[in-house]
Amino acid sequence: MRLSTFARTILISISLTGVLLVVLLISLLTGTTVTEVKTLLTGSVQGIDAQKTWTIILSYRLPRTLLAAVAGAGLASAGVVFQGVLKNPLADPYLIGIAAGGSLGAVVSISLFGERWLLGTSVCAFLGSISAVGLVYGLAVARRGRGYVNTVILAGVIVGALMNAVMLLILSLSGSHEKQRILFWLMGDFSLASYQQVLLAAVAVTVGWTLIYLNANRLNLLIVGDDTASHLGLNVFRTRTLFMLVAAMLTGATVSVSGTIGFVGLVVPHAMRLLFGPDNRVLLPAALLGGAAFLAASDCVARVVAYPMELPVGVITTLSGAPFFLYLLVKK
Amino acid sequence: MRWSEATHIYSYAKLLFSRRTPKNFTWLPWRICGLVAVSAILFVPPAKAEPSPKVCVEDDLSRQVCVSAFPKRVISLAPSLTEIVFDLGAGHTLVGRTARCNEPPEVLKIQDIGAYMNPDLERIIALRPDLVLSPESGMRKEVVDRLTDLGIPTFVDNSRTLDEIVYLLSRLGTILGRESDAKTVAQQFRQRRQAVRERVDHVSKPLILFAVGIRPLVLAGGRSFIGSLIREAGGTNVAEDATIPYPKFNMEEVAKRDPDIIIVLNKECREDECFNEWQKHQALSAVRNNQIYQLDADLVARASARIMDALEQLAAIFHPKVFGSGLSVGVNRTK
Repeated sequence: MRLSTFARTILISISLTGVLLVVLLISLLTGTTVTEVKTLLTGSVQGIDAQKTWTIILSYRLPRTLLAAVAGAGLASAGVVFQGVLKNPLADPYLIGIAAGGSLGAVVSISLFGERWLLGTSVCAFLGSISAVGLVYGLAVARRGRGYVNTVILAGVIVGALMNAVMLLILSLSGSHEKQRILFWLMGDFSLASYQQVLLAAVAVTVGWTLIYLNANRLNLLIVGDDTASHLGLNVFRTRTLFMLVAAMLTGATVSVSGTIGFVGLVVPHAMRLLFGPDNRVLLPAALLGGAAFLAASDCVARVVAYPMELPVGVITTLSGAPFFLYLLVKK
Repeated sequence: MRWSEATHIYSYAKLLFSRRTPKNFTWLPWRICGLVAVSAILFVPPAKAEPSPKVCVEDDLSRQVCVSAFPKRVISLAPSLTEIVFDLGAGHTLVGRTARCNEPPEVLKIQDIGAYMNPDLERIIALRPDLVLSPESGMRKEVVDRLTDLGIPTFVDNSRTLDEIVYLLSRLGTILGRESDAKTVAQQFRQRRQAVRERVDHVSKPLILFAVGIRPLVLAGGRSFIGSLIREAGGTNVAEDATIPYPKFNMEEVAKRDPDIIIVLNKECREDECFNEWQKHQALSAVRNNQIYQLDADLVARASARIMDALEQLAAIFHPKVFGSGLSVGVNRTK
């Protein structure tokens, strides 16, 4: 019996939510000894140590795990949109210069302003991302939609390269302390996440994803082809603009709180497509939950592997994601 | 071999070994003469420049670095080395320094040869140095190789402990011709070190967190130079077990180990930023007890003779009871 799309969406969402919850639980408990867990569950020992364990979990582990999950969800959903709108399997949230713009913003913030207030770098990174997308989109509009996809991709790559060059320029002129901070930022980092960041990112991802999901049908149409879509009554230009801007906003918000973490936005959508098919109505929730679980798990690994040192989470996402993706590619 | 010599030899060889012999060329004697000439050019060593006494020391790449006695044009490629040259009373021989060198104040009059870790080779060569002092860490190997290839004696330093600094002092004293100054400086160095050691020897060692970066959290580990200073000043390092010198450290583990004293560097943040940043971590007793101190990054990060000031400051922070007010602590204390 073939299930309706709606039923499939529900089923897949429920199972992936289960996966996500398991990942979150494992991540929250990794690093805690068994006895500590028992103490927490039974509440038998109300000593200083139990309190300390709670503090560690609540003020360090929970926010970073949540932030990783939210960032993963945002990147993967944005990836689905970019791959759909640009009809390019290589498209990911970073292709059209968003990451470069965000990096530039962050680098400017770190090296020129220091870090004056907590979210300064985040705000600058967000502004950088948005201005990169604005520039790329402005170019596409200036060409009045002729060869839209190619314009966006080419302009994106060029704008990205330009911003990268400016970023490297600033990097080469800054002191070693700033250099170190910038490098860690570029490799992605959740280690000092705060609830404030989680909240901001969660709001952005929720709003962005909802907007995209409500238009999932239109995204399906866009993939079929511009001509077909417009014959079927879709305002192709307006729809594309909406998708691009919302996805850019999603990515910018994520990049601003987590740094540039590669591979999530590229691989999670592909993996979900291989697993559950190309229908965006199913794909969007799947990417949201899958991305969240994937990045939360990666962050957990990055935190634990070299304990008490930490590895950059971007390295873990690529090292673990690439073989899995290759396996899916061969198998399906 | 000079270029003109090389072209001579080439044209000789072309003439001698070409199949088409020019007419009226009685080739055998000419060829023999030519061969003798060529081999003479090739094998007779060029006349030596007037001999001057050479001083040689081994640098930290285990190479012999030889200079003619009393080098007069020295270039330093690291702030720490610049300071040591001045400590040894050889500041007047410095003709080049990095843009980062700022101690002692008269160093600013010396021409700078580009950024620290990224010096401008052309400017170095243009200054015709007879000795270049370079750090190993942070310096691209190519720079050192290029200088050495150009025949400029290049001493590479990789001091990571106080003992190594003493050793460095004696070698630089030798190569700069300031042996007695080096002995004096090393002697003072040892005395001050011994004084600190005696006073912190029998007191309990507080747990120290030394942050070289706060976002993300990067600590000075047990294998870093700062790590050895912490041990020397009578402290236990939170990140003693880290396998790399400056690890990005897990904040949870910091909370678990709960340091008594937190030290931050002034380069890392402006004004009170670092203090404010740490105020978020009220779970740490160092934060609750206001045990956060800010140190001058130039002081602790440079392996120069001033490192003794840093050591004394650290010891005074770690053991206020032992050192009391007898030692002025040049540190900003949190409000």
